[in-house]
Amino acid sequence: MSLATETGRRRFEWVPERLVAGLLGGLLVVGFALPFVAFLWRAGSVTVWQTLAEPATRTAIRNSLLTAPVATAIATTLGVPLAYVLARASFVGKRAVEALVILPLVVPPVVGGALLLSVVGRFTPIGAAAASAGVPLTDSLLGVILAQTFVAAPFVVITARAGFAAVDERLEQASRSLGHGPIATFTNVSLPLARGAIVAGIVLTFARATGEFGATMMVAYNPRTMPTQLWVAFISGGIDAIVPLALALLAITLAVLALVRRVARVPTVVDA
Amino acid sequence: MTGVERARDQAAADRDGDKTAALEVDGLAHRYGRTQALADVSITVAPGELIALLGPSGCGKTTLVQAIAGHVRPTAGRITLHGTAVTTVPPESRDVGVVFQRSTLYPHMTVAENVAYGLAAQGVADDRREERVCRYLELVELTHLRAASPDALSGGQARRVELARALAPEPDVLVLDEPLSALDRRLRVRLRDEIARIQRTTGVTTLFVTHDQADAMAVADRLVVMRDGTVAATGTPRALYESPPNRFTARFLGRSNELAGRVVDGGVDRALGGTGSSDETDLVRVAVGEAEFVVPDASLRTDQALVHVRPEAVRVAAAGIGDDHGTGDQNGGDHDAEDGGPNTTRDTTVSLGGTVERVADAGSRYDVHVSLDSATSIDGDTETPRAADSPPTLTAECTRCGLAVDDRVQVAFDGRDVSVFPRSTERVESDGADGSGGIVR
Repeated sequence: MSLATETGRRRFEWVPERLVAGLLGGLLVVGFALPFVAFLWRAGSVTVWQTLAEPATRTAIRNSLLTAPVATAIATTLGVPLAYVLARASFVGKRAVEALVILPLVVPPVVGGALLLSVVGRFTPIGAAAASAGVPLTDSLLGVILAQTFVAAPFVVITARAGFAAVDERLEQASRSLGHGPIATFTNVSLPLARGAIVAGIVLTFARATGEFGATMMVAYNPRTMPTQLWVAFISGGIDAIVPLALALLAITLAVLALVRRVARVPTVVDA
Repeated sequence: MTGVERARDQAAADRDGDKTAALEVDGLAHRYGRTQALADVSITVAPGELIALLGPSGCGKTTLVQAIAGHVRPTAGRITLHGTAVTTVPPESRDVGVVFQRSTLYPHMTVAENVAYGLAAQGVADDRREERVCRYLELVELTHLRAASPDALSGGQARRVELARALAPEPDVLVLDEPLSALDRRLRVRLRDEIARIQRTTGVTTLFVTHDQADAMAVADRLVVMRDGTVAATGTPRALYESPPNRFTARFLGRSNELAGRVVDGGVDRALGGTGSSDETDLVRVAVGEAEFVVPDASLRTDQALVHVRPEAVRVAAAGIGDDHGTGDQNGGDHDAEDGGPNTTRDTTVSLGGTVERVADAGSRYDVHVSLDSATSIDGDTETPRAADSPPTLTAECTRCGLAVDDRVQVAFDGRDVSVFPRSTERVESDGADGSGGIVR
């Protein structure tokens, strides 16, 4: 422990190889920062509050705040157990399951939306049945949630899986030998010890769900969420038109991030 | 009388009333895919006994304890705890406490919470739980650290907390899987004495798994030596050390000189009428170099033998000084046997001439490596001898022998301190300590 703090306090030495790494990394940091700064620069010349008060914008914000948490909750409830199974069990077809989990990350969201449509679209058996039962799975908040869950759930699965894998299996065995069953062991030992990774996964999933556009546009162009509303605003008004909503989106994501970090006491989301 | 001692007396009372073994493993076998980790292992542990399960890494020790604890379901065989078959019972439903090689203390709980963890599962009431935690922290002398985080503990303290945690639910059997191997030498000696003390205090039936023969011999009532997924030997540490039943055990339980021997007379006993012990043991005369001695070993059917003798049983002296068992005085054999009963028959000193090759200072003693003159002459060709340019050596221990390299010496050992094994039945080990002689470990 003392070793860690000592090395942490040591001054960074600019030896040549670090200089190269620093320069390359710095270039990327500039690449991140420059568009951000330039975009915020425009914010000064736009009537942010006025735009945010418009009914269409407010509806979009409300829809996003409604759907993203639900999608995150679904992804977490189903994803964390899946992550645990993937981290601990070995079974026939595990590779296939792992590939499936990553699939939504590697296919473009628009294609993901198309995949979803082929199952829940209005003219598919499932879609038609749901629509006639009064719960349409396309062009509805339910459709939005479906699209967000599909695209964002891999984040919590992959991150939580890494978290569970980092928990020594012997700690669980010790718990079993101390008289706790598998479920009690999961909640008393595995879950608390993987908490940091799981929280990080939840935050990433929420951020992804909130910003989800491609699949959402395919499955539910209406009702509008913040990203789809952004698109509509951009088409009609250019970059300046989307500044207010983009800032709101950023604010929501950052607020959730800060809140979760505070509540869950996870120091940094990325290295958790 | 502390609560822990009460628990021990209760355990003793149970033991008197109940003669069944605390733990019985019967014909246990396990394979991981194609690897056979355990093949037909059977052991019985009496209540209150401390058994050391000893073997090299990869011999199946860990698989065996994992099966006993319930974390591995064996492919064949039966495990019985106090007369109840538990082979397929999940770990939480058998009263087996486990301490693993690496720390498994929960970092998100304090020391006291860790110790209390097993009690929560048993549904022990809060106030009694508190009392039990105190009692077991007292047992391991760590009461002052009850509120500490496991991260703040030293290696030895963490081990003791784990011991307290495993003992607090008062299990039927305590399994310690290499509990000392992550510790440095001084600490491990201290902690192993601590474990022995705690075991005596609590009286809990204990299975102590280790690859270290010194740890095993120091603490155990009984040793179970494992090799390649089977039990190679079982017995008290002293008995196994002094008269190992096979070559593997002889080599594993400590330093051992191996010399090639030749069976010169397989039926000594019968001819000697009256010296034969009541159990009709065959006596066999074995030659090592120019010396001969007699051992009772009915199992020695081959004429090639491996002669084992511990370094501390070998005496070494400069040639000509105190040479009462010189090479010319081969008193192994008939005239000695005529003197008396079966004991004197075996009371034969083997004496061999040689040259000091190396003297190693081991602190409390010297290890004198002697290259023997004549052991090569009796070397058979049934097993690969060592390279011709490296003569057979014997290691002797001495405290003040004042010997130097190239001194001419006489080494001697008693026939009673020797174990003889057939040579052709055991495979040649890859470490090359075979052939005409050499030291193992």
